[in-house]
Amino acid sequence: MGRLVCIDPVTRIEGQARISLHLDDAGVLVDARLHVLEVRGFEAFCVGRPFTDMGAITSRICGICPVSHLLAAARAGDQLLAVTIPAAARQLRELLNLAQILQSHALSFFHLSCPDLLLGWDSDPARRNLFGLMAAEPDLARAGIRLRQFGQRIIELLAGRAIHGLWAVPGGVLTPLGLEAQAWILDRLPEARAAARLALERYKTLLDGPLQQEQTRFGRFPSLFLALVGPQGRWAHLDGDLRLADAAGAWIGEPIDPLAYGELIAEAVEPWSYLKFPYIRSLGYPEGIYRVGPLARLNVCRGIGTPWAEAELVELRQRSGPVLLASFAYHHARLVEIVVCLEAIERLVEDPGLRSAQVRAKASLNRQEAVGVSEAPRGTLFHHYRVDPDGLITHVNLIIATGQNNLAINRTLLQVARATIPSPLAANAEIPEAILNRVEAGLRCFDPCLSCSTHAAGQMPLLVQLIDARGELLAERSR
Amino acid sequence: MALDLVIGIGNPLRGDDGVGPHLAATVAASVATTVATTVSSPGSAGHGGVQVQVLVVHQLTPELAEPLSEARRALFLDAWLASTASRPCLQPLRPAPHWEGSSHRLTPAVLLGLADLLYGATPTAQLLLVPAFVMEPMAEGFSPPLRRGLPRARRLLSQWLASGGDDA
Repeated sequence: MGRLVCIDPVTRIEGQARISLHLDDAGVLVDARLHVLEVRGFEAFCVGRPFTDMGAITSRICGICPVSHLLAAARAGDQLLAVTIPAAARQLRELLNLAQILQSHALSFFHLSCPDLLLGWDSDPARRNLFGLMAAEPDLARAGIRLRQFGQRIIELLAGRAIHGLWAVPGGVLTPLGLEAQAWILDRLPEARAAARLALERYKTLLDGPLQQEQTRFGRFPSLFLALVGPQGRWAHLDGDLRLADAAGAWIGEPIDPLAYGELIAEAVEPWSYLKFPYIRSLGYPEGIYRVGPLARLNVCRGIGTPWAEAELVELRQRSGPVLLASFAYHHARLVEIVVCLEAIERLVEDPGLRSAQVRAKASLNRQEAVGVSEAPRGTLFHHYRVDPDGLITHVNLIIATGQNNLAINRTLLQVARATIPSPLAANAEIPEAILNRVEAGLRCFDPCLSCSTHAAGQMPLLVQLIDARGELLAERSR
Repeated sequence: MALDLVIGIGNPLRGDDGVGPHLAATVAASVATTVATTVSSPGSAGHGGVQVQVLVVHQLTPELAEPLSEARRALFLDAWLASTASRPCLQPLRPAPHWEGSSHRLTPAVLLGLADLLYGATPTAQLLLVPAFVMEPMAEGFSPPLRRGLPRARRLLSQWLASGGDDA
């Protein structure tokens, strides 16, 4: 008789989920599934609201990623107004998004992933948490806290509050950057740079030691990659062309018109999860697997354009290969993007044009359909709106980064489980916690935000279930 | 100048859960300061020779460990889902010696433990718990039973502010 192993709850992720491992009658692993357990239905209740409210409404989807939704909504709003926003507004939005990516990556690396990376997969689970990390590496923990603070504070300086600020609007932004805020950012930049340097140095010692195998093998498989790129194919996060790259890193076709995203991406559903499964339409489901986020952005771009980050990208590719195929490399990619953010923030803040008072273009409704695209910390974000002649929403579709990674997450879980769980597994054999933690860590590579991807609220834990060949639950493990 | 830190915890869009931010706003008004949403914001003002910093957060995060370590006293304002009739109360807090809860939901005691672990200092801390009865999403305002408890909650809050550390 087969078995089902459940990891429930999955910890140190943004959202509530369960992982099930399916074994056949012989005890051989045949499938691994991520079950996302909640739905909230933002797309439904946004209908009838003015498009100008979409930033305020959709930013409430999440407390970690409100800036991403705010910016995507504002960019869709720009198109509905049919305006080109002022240069300073574009730069200010960039500054906001860079701060968002920075603080989110710092949270993911220092608070959620470092307990595994620094304390070890097999360490005592009672210590393998933020508390244990702080006891073991207090300097790094303090640096991580201050780095995340830095990003959060920039968001607050711009948007008035760290979470759910409503400063980016259709046509631009509400206020320019003040002199005091500019001075504060420049004053704190050296410390933030030092924190990033410390994290990179520490992480590389792990890659040269206990994590040497993981960087190239953990969750490794070919897939497509989707991301925005800027001029000359440089790393981009807000403005740019949407590009799809293959598993060798080569661009596929021409830049994708965001309005035509539906020709590129289709969404499948499965009865066992509320999280949809976007896929590349031309390849079909589930063959049309692709990845978004830090790993994809570094694979799709042809370079970064800031000196320190460029050097880090070169080193990352030397360590992991010219194309990052292992999901584990998301962690290193996140650190490289922290460096990009710091360099780009410095460049922007020192630009005198950033302090222009002209930050908003005003117009009435000039279009009835728009797609706002931006790079959220976890990957490409689409906000698709249709409105009636009065500007009231008639249709909304939100395609979220974690959803786009859903197929890749499931592939990673299966690959990691196959690599770590003894096969065949004896009928009554217990799976050690350390192995289940490795499976969970496969999910954490993606830094999934399930609140965003299901637009749902609720508890944050995760469950792992063992299911037999007839679908009966044989065992489950939760925490 | 000594620092007193007041942290209102909750979401005003979830009904009674918003009582922590509500009470924090009353502190801000009484000591003529502003409410901040990040730990590095200037949200403080003098009050009887003591600097009072007021923070409002949806949930406790590790970033709060640093300002906590710099405070002489700290007061956490939070709602708790009451199953039966009960009254607002002040509870003393001690730093947790080990990890409790999840990575997303730090308790005040764990946060105090983090402050001790990372910065080697913790304030004298108390938790003002206000019984809550309705925590529905997208709901503003407070339920009638919570409103009945508000005068006592405000009184406890005023006493804490006025005590200036005598309760320690």
